[in-house]
Amino acid sequence: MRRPGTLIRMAVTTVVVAGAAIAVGLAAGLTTLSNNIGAAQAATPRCTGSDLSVIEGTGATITTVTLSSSTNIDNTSACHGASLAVTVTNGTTSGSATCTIGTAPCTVAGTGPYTFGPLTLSAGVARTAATQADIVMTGP
Amino acid sequence: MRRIGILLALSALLTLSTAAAASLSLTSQALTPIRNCILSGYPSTTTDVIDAMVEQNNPNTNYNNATNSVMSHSGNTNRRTYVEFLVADCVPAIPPTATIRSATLRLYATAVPAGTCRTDDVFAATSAWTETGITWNTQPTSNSTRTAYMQIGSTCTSNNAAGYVTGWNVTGDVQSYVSGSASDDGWMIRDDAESSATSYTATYEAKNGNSTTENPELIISYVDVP
Repeated sequence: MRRPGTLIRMAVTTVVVAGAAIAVGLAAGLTTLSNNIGAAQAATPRCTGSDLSVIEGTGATITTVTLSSSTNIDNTSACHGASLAVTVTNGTTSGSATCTIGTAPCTVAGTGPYTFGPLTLSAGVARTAATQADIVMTGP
Repeated sequence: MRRIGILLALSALLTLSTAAAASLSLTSQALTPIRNCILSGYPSTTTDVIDAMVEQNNPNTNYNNATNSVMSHSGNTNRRTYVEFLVADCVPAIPPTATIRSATLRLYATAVPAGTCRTDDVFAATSAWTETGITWNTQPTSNSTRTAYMQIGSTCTSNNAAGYVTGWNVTGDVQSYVSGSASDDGWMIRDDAESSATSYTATYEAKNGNSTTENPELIISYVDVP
């Protein structure tokens, strides 16, 4: 027979170890949510499976852009509600615009390819032979 | 008591590692960067884009200076269009390890085939050519299998009037150009059934049209990490 003091110490120890185990369990759950967490690996962002093309407005100066995707990303839970920030640059000047997928003007039109917009840029960008358009999607 | 102390230290260590993992996963899930490179045939002096038409009926004539690329097909009067976008000229350069999500070749149709719905095919050219040198008789080699096709004509459900066509999906070809597994020699565009008894004509705006509203375009959407 162990003394009561010893039993209490064992009980406290068990509770502490169980608490730590629960914390580890939560961490494992978080890791599972991201696709690729692990040693020397980065998690895959959620909406990169989709393609998003930037179609520039016509004219000598680009003042609007329309986004196009082969999939209806508004119907994709990994993308719906995400914020989009678009920046167009010709290397000298740049213009930007933002919107939220599912909210005008970023609502789906067409039956594929699916288009969003047009979005009005904060500043006009002179048309050149090569322009760059970066899209950063945040969330959902 | 010493064992309890060891166990407490151990649990604290585990908790710390948990916090690090949680913050890493939350940060990486929130942002999705997608880049686009848009190569355009405007201004017409650009060397980023080259295009030319070739004609079977005048097999030694170079049509580099034409403002329109006419595609027709009838008997021995077939015409084809060649266009090349120098993907290496994207600024910033697309990394060889990038994943191409989509690449769309867009041309502006100034006239579509009347009273019909034709299929226009795109084939990847597989040898070098120049704007000033290409003729029907000096066409570059090209893949025997088409990269993509698109329907065009007044009776089609889309691409049935003047305007930018929906375009050809050339994602696989551009991925090969970027990764270096194939050389970027552009594409040949022609009717799917050449030498037909009836002549139909589709006309596309060429780079020499120097238009800011009808210029040829290649839109490449990519991500830096797979």
